[in-house]
This record gives sequence, structure tokens and C-alpha cells, in this order.
Amino acid sequence: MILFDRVSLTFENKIILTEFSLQVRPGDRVLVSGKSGIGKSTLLRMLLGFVQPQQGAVHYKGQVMSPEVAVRVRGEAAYVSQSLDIGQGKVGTFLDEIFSYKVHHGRQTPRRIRDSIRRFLELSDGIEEEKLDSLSGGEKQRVALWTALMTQRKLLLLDEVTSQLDHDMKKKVADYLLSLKDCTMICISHDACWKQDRSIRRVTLGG
Amino acid sequence: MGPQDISIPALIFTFLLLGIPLYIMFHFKLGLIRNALISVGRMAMQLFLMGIYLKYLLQWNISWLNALWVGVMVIVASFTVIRNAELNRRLFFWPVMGSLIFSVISILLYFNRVILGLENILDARYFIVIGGMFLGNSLRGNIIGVSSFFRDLQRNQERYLYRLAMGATVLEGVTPYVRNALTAALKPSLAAIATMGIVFLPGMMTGQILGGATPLTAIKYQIAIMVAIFVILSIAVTLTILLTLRVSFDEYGVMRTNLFRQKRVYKNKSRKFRVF
Repeated sequence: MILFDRVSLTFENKIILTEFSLQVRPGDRVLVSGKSGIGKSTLLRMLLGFVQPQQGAVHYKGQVMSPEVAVRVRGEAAYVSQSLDIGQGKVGTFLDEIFSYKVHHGRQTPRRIRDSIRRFLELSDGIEEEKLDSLSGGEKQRVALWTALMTQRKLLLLDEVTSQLDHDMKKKVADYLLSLKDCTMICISHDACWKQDRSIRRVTLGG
Repeated sequence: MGPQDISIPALIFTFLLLGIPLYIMFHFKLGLIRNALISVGRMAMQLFLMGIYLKYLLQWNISWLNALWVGVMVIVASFTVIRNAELNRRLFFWPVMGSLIFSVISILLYFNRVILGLENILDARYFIVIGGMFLGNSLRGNIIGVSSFFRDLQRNQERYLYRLAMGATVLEGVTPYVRNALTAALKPSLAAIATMGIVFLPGMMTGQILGGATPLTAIKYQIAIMVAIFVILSIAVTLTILLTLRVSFDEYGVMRTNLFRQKRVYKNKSRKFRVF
């Protein structure tokens, strides 16, 4: 489904990736770890078409990365970025904007599912009225995850999705995401909660 | 009935008044004396030259020359917008000029034909003079709008990429920035419209009254001009942003890195704007 085929990337004279290869089949769960700045986030950014490798190629569903393929990935993946700077204004307005995109037309998440995910993530009833800027790191991270899960997409690209959560919540979220059937997942994390699951394939960059 | 002329000695008396701000600058060590002298000198020189051009342009009143003159003004205005917004001239010249030409010329022709009912819509007295007024007064809003769009986008690039990752098209992804840019560009103009006639007497109206027009004609012109400037500003900023989307992002929708000019050359931005 996803193939990083000997990709190399140098950015501002710093080598980020050298001949890195990784194959992800449908239903795979891959945990990417490694030191900070080693290029873990860059892998997901490459898959989303934000960064192009200088050598090698990224393939998605048998097609080499191109602007069209990048649009396809963006329309099929549920992404949670490491950066919690995801938007401004009220959470409700932010969600309305994201789900107003053409790609979501005719695929609105029923209110029932929307609320059940929110409750699972222990976000309060009135969260949609709160401003993104006033939320704590953990709340922002849960809002980002809530948004990603509401898309009900089957490809999860999760960049440090549990880093700001407390211990119990980390475990709860990791267990839930790993229990999702038919989902393919690439997860970047340093958290131990992901490592306990034996079904997850561990890839260490630079190691 | 023309206005009372200002003689050359009277103009010298005008410049003598400058002694007051110059003394204040000297006393408080503002470091602006040189700047003030250069700015006033430039203004006098530019307006003097413009007086000569206008004298002949109005006298000859050749349609194609009038159109060419407005074309030159649009080119200069495009450079001013790009320079003040500190954008890459090579990438932005055509989109900025295209949107200025479209917005200013279309509204100018509409103004001359439909509103004023002129026989010759390229008449120098209207086409050049009102065209200059439109350009000059929409310039500041254009600069604010365009520069706010790209600065905002650069500052909040992570948010933009997040939207793309969530499936937004480039246009959907930049919509919040377009909204902010248009608000920034149009708000001061709306404030000026709302306070017109209370806080200050607008230049167009003052000029017409001094030129012998009745106050009623003068206010009608002022209203029409204000509406036209507001319309031009809305069209120009929106169009500039839309036309620059193609050059500002790569085929993957990621913002190019060479959108901004490398060096800041101009210290005194305010003198680049013309106010009425």
C-alpha cells in the first residue's frame, strides 16, 4: 500500500534520510521511533507530498508520488500532526471549516459518532464553544485526534499523537487506535504505551 | 470661476511654515530632518513634473496617449505594491499588474460611461485624473491586503499544511488567509467611508469646491469616488491573491520559498502612499 523505496533527503546540508526503505501493507501498524530530528515526521510529510525525496521514490497504492497521488493520500488519510498549531478561533468553527472541504462532501460524520468519539477522548460538552488558542496542549492534541477520527478514514498517519496526554489517556488512546479493524497505521511515537502491543511493527530510524 | 492662485512667493511662505516641524524635530532630536527635507523636496519635484505632464496631456487630449498614460501609472503602482509588500518582483509583477489593470480600468470605464455619461470615455480630464485618484487611493489597501495575506500564510504555514493534509485544496486551505487579508485591506477603507464629512473634508470635494463646483456636485462626486475606490480595492485584492496562487505554490500545493524579496531597502514606507 505504501512503499518508501530507498529514499534519501538532505535539507540545508543536513542529511535527513539515506536510502531509507519501508513497506507498509494494508492493515499494517507501524511504529516509527528514533532520536529527535532524525526525520520521522519527514516520512509522513513525504507521504503527504509536502517534501520530495532527492533520491528514491515514495509509492502509494502502486503509484509513484505525484501531485495527483498526494491529493489522493490527503483525501484518504487521517492525519494528526506533531505541531499543535492546527487552527484558530472556536473549535466548532474549526471543525465546520475542515468538514466543509469538497473531499468531505456527502461524507458527514453522524452527530452520534462525533459525540461518542468526543466523550471517549474525555473532551467536555462545551469544547466546540472554546477557542483553540485557549486549550492546553493535551486538549489540542485530543481535538486533533477527534478531527482525524471523525473522518472515519482507514489510513492513520499519527505524529506523536499521545505526547501531550497523561499516562492513563495515553494508554486508552493507544489501545483504542490499535483495536481499530481494517485500519492501516503509521505512528510516530516515543511513548511506551505503543510498544506493549505485539501486533505493531517497530521501525527505528538511525538505529 | 477658478480658485485663488498661489503665487511663487506665496509658495515660499508655505515652505517657511516647515520651520516649525523642523525646529520640533531638531529640539527633540527625532533624526527626521534629512528625511523631512528629502520627502518635501521629492513631493514638490514630483508634483511640479506632474503639473507639466498634465498641462500637455489635457491640452492635447489624445485618447491613445491618455490610455498609455494610465497604463504607465498602473505599472508604477504595481511596482509600488510589490516593493512595499516586500514580494519577489519576478513572480508577482504580472499577477499584481493584471489585477490592477482589470479592477481600475473596468471601474474607470464604467464610471466615465455609466455614471458620468461621457461621450469620450478616454477624455484626459476624467480618464487620467480620476484614474490617478483610483490608483492612488486603492494603493494602500492593496499593499496591506497582499502583504498581510503572504505574511500570515508564511507565519502560519503549519496550519495551512494541516488543512492540506486534511484534504483541502489550495484554495480551501488559503481561504482563512484570504478572509483576514480582505478584512485588513477593507476595514480602514470602510472606516474612512463612515467618517467622511465628519472627521475630515475629503480632498476630491475640497478641490471641486475650490474649483468652483457647487457643494452638491462636489458631494455627489465624492460619494461616487468613494464607492468606486472601495469596489476597486475589493476586486484588486481578491484578484491579486487569486492570480498569485498559481505562482505562490508548487504543484503539490506547498508555498514556495522565494516569495519574498531578500533585502529591505525602503525605510520610510509612509511616503510611498498617496492620500487624498
